[in-house]
Amino acid sequence: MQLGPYDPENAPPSKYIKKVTETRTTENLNLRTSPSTSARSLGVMPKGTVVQPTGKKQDAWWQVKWGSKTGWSSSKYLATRTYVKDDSVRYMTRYTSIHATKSLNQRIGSVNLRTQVSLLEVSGDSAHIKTAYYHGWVEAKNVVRTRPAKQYRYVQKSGSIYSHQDPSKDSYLGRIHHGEKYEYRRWDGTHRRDEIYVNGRWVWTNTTNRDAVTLQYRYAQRDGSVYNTANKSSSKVVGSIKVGTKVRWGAWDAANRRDEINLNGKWVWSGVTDRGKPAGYIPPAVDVKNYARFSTKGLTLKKNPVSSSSSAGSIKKGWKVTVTHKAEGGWVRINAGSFSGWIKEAENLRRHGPYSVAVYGTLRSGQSAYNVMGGFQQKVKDQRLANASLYQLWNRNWTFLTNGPKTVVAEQFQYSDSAGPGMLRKLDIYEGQLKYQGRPMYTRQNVYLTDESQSWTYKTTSFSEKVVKNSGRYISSGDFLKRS
Amino acid sequence: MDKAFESAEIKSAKERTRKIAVCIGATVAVAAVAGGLIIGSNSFSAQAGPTSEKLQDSLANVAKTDAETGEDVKVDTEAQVIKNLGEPGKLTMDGATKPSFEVTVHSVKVKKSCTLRGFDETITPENGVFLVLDVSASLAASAAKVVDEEIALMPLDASSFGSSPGENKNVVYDLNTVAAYSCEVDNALDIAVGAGDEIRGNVVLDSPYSTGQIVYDPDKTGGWTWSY
Repeated sequence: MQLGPYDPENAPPSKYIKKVTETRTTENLNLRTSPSTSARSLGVMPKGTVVQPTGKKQDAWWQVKWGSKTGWSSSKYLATRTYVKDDSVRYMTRYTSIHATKSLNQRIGSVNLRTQVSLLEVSGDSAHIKTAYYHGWVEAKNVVRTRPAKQYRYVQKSGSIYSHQDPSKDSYLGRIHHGEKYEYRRWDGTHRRDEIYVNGRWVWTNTTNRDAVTLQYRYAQRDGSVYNTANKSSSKVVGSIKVGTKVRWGAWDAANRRDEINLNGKWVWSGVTDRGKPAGYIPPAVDVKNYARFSTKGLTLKKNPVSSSSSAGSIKKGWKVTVTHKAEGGWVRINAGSFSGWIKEAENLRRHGPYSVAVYGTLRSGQSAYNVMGGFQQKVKDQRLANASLYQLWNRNWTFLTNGPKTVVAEQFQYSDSAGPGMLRKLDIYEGQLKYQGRPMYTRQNVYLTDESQSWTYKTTSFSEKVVKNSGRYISSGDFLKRS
Repeated sequence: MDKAFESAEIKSAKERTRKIAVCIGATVAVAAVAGGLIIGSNSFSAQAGPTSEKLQDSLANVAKTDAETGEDVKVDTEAQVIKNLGEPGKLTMDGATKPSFEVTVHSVKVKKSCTLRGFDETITPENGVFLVLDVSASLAASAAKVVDEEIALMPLDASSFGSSPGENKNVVYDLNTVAAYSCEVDNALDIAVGAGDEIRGNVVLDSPYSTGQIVYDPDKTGGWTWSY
């Protein structure tokens, strides 16, 4: 095949691809005032330093420049290599025509947005580039060093995609659906079509635009069939849909009174869906990884995740609860002691219990100081403090919670708004007595538990953690001490 | 420091010096009578040969004489160095004269109850009585050099103390009960004295004995004892 004048193979060499000769040190190397090992050193050039030989040589010594210094170094430890440095890589900022000359008046082809090209030359406002298909001239302002960000378009209305922008040459390739987002690279004003990237292929459509589109959903109002097309007379049943099922919506066919819906990942048509939830609709519960929160007010739990559902019990403000499931509409299923039911998560649950205290030592149930913790409204056992370790000093009655790689078993006490502030004050005094060098060994700190909730606990400070982890008793230090 | 405070400090120091002088005087007098042998009822001077092997081990780190004062060191049959209230127990490095650690029990108050710290409730002892000890201690800065860990200290909490009903009686050590820990006490003593520090404060013990002896023995290998 004969090559044309604008084929890339006939492109002239790029002015931005150059041969470069470079000299580097192969070891840490002295730069000396004269070509002798006995000459004074001007400094040691680290291995790999690029130097500029001046061309002067004496025996095995080269004169080189290193920054502002000029001196002599042994050529035994200098390596010179020549390589090709390609500084021609550029990207296109838009779809644009390629022209035969820099005057840009003879179009020979085009190049797309974000295409990587090789810059050959710049002349005035024009740039000579080489693409995979051509070499030619474009406006220089459309050629940049950094690849532009991808651009996207949104499907405004479900519709078709085609192989070509010109309807007289295209073939139908399929459908894209309401609200979907696709990478974009070109607008054809003549045929009013966008070129977008669908399933690994650049295709054309007239149903996309810049504005984002909110996805829409429909609910099955009753049990029914779903079909492969909208047409009532020719469509085939391809499945069924259960009442209450929520599905993404694509289009409405008014003639056949059918919605296009996405059921289990497949686009089908249905005559039983509508915008509103059907009467008696209960959104499905979705199992989630359990996490804990605290109630921000007294709450009535519902048996199902709908406002009209009957009560499943109630919990007080400040209780710790475990979230086990979620459902559409912001509903969460919680466990709190013997109660279990649904509430709205927003504004009813919070991460930190303002009057929740996690204890891990003698204050736990059955331990010697447990009676101090009286007056709580809720107690939960077998909780775990995250990122923690326990240390003991010589007094085995003390345990010190420090930062650490493990978890520590704790018990959590929740106090009411009326009892909480007083209890925290009392505990601050009770736990504040242990001191070293006049500084407390414990302070009340807000910590994370492994269930992602936060609680108060008494924990070492950075100072006391050091004492706990790094102290040694003088009396045990050796047999050189005498008592008297 | 203002003048009024300065003069009060000086007065206090002079009083302390005078008291120590009286104590030393008393000890010297007793030592002179004893002539370095068994003193009174079953207390030993350190150079006398004790009978049991365990006691021999515990006595191994007892100086024959106080390196600072030259006085004979007296121990009881429990291997505790005998001190009077206000008199310091000392640890001194071999060859040195100045002690690197000193601990002094200045006074012991006996209480049948105390206030639960922070909660304003009355609590009672688990073992018998609460003993509120006024304790001072100091640890030389040089201690830091001989301890492997980063921080050198000497414990001063309730678990470091024991009590006995009197001289040469068995010492009990489980005085650091939760009740003792929970007592509200003014000027609570730090849990330990660090290298280069000198501290004083109160420690609460939960003891079976309302009279007898206090023992400071954090390693339970022999320490010092004060009668109260």
